[in-house]
Amino acid sequence: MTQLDYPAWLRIEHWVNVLFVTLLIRSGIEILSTHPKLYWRNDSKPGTEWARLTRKTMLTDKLYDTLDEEESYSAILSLPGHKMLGMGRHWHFITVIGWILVGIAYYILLFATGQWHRYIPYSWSIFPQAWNDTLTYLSFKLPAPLPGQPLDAVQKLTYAGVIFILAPFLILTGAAQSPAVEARFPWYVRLWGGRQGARSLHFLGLLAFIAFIAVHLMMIGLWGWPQLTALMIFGEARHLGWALTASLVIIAAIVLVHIAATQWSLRSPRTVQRALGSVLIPARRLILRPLASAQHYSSSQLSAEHRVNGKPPDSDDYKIMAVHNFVDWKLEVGGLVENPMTFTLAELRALGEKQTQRVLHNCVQGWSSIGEWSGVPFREVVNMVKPLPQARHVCFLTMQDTGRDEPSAEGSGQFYEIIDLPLAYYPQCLLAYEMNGHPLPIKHGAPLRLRIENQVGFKMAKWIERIEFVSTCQGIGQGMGGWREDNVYYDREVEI
Amino acid sequence: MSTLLRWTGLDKLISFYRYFAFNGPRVTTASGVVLLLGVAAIRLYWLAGGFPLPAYPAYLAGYFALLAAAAVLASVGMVAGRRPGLVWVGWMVGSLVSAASLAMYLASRTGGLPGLPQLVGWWDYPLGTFAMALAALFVGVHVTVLTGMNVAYPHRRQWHD
Amino acid sequence: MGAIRPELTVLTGEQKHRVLEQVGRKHGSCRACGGDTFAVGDALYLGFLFLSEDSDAYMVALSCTNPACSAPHTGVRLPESEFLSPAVRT
Repeated sequence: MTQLDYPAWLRIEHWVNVLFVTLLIRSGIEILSTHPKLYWRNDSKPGTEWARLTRKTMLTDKLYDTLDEEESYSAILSLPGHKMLGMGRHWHFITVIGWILVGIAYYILLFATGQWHRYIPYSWSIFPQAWNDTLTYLSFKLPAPLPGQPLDAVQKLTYAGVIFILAPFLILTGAAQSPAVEARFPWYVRLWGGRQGARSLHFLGLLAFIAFIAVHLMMIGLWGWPQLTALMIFGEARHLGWALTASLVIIAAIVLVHIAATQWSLRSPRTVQRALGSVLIPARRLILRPLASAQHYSSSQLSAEHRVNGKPPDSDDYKIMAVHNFVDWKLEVGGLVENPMTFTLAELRALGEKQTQRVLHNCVQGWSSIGEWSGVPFREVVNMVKPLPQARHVCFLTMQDTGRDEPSAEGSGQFYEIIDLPLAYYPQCLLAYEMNGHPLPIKHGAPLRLRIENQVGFKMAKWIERIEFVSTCQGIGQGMGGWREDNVYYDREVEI
Repeated sequence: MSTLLRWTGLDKLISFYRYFAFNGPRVTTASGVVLLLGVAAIRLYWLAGGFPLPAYPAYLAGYFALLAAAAVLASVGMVAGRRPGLVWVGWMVGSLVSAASLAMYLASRTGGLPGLPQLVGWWDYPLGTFAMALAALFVGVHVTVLTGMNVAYPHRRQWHD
Repeated sequence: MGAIRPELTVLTGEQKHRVLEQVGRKHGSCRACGGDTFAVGDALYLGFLFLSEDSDAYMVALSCTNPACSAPHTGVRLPESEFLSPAVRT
C-alpha cells in the first residue's frame, strides 16, 4: 500500500485551500448580508423566513424594497464588509474558480498517487472502530490512529465527508443559485427544494464547514500543534520549533491576504472590479452564457407576492402618466439602428403575438419568486429597428432617478442597464407589459420592463423609456455596463 | 457598568446575539425535550443498575430519581401548548435540572460527594461526559429562547417584513 | 388599451364632482393650454408607492376638455379627505 505520508502537493494544496476557504467564507457572508434572511420556499414571502441575521425591521405603511433590508456587516466577518455586495460577489466567484481547480487537482492527485487510502474507508470495520474512538474522545483521551495511517477512524470518516461530500455539496448548491443554471435546468434547482432551499442548504453547508474548521483546529491543538504543522509544512515531524514558527508565518500571510483584499476592495473597488472582472466575465460567457431559459412553471406555482429591489420614479410626470394608464408613454428605440422607431403602449401590445412566460426570478441579493410575465419578445423589436453591424450592446434607459428614488443605494442619476446584443435574441428575452395576467404593476416597472431569464434581476430594467443600440459601453455612465456596475461595483455578466 | 462595556467595546460583542433570530418553535421545543429526556434517561439507567460502581449511597439513588422525575415533568410542561405559563415553568425547571445535574457531576469529579471518594478525578467515563453535554446543550438552547434568538412552542414569530 | 391597472381607483360621479370642486377652489388650470375645464378620470394612491408622498395623497387624472389642447392629460394631487370618503380607500 502507498505510504500515507505528506507529499509536497498535499501540503501545498492544504495551505492554498485554507486561503481559498477563508476567502469564500468571508465573501459568502458579505453576499448573505445583502439579504440576511433565509427561506425554504421559492417565493421568499416576507415573514416566512426560518432565520434572519439582521436587526432591521421594515415599516409596512410605505413601500420598502430589499435595498432597505440590506445589512452592513463588519469587515472582520465579511469581505469586504460595509454593504459592498458587488465586491463580495467578485471575491466569492473568483475564489470559487480557484477552489474548484485546486479541488480537481487534489482529487486527481489523491487517486493517482494512492493517497486516497487516507480518507476513503474500504472496510465496514471502520464504523465500530469510529464508535470506539468516539467513546475514547468522550473519556477525554485521544484514540490511536488506524494502523499505518495518519488518522483515527472518526477523523478518517470526517475528512472523507468534508472532502467528498461537503465540498461538492457547497459547489452544487452554489450552482443551483445561478439564474442561468436554473433557467436552463429547472429540474436541477427543484432537486434542492427550489432556489431558496439551495440557498438555505448552502448556508447550512457554511455552518458545517465552520464547525469542521473549529474542531480541526481544536484537534490539532490537542494532538500537538508543532508536530502536526511540521507534517503539513516539512512533510515529517522534525524541526518542531521551526514548524511552529512557520505555521504562524503562513497563517499571518493568509491573514495579510485577507486584509489586503479587504482594503483594496474598500479603497479602490473600481480596480478590483476591473481586475477580477477580466477573469470572471470571459469565464461566465464561456460557461454560463450558452444556457438559455427553458422555464415553464405552472400557474399554481406563481408567488402571491413579489419583493422589489428599487422604488418607482417619484416624479409628477410619471405619476400623471400612471394615473392615465400610460396612454402618453412612448418607447423610443434608436441608436445604432437602421430604422429608429417610437412605440406607444398600445402599439407594443398590438405587435405580434403576446408571449407569456412563467419563470423563477432571481434577485442579485438572493431572494426569489415565481412570476408570469407577458409582453413582446424583444427580438421582434430588434428585427424591426434593424441594428447596424457595429451595434454590440443594448442600453435600457429608465425613468428612475436613483438619487431621488432610492436613498438606500449609493450613487445617483438616471438608472440604466446594458446587455450584450446576442442576449436580445434569447427565446425568453421579453419586453413585459403584464405580470400575472394584469397590467405590469407600478412597483414592478410599469409600463414596461425587461425580462432576461438567465440573468439576475437588476439587469432587467424597469420603468423603461428608451432603448439604445450602442457599439460600446464606454461613455455611458462610468462605462462599466450599467448603473449598478458603475455605482455599486456589481459584476457585469450576471448569469450567477 | 454599561459605560465600561461601551468603553471596552464588549457591549457590541455581548449584543451580537441580536443579529440572530430563528423561526422554528417546534424544532426548538423538540430539541429541548430530547435533551432533557436524555438527561432523565441516563439517571434512570444508573438507577436501574447501570451505575459504574457496585454500590452507592441511598441519597444518590434518591437524587437520580428526583432528577429524572423533574426532567420528565419539565418536558411535559414544555409541550403543554395551551398553557404558555406552564411552558415557561417547564423550560425553567428543565434548566434547573440540567444545571443541577452538571453541578453534581462536576462536584463528584472534583470536590467529591459524601461516601463516593472513588469518583474524584474519574473523568474517563463516556456516558458521564455525554450526560454533561446533554445538560449543557439544554441550558444553551434555553438561553437562546430567553434571549429571543429562538422561540419555543407554542409561541410564533410575528414577522411582517 | 388593456385592462385597468390594479393601482387605480375608479371614482363615482359624486367623487368626481368633489374633485372638480377642489380644482376650482385651487384655481387649477391646464399645464399645456391654460384651460380650466376638465374631465375627471381615475385616482392613483400615492402614499404607499412613492417616497416623497404623504400617506393620504392621491393623484387624480384630469383631462383638459379644450379640443385644441396639445397635452390634455394632466392630474391633481389631493388628500383623501377632499374627494374620497374614508371607507372607499383601499
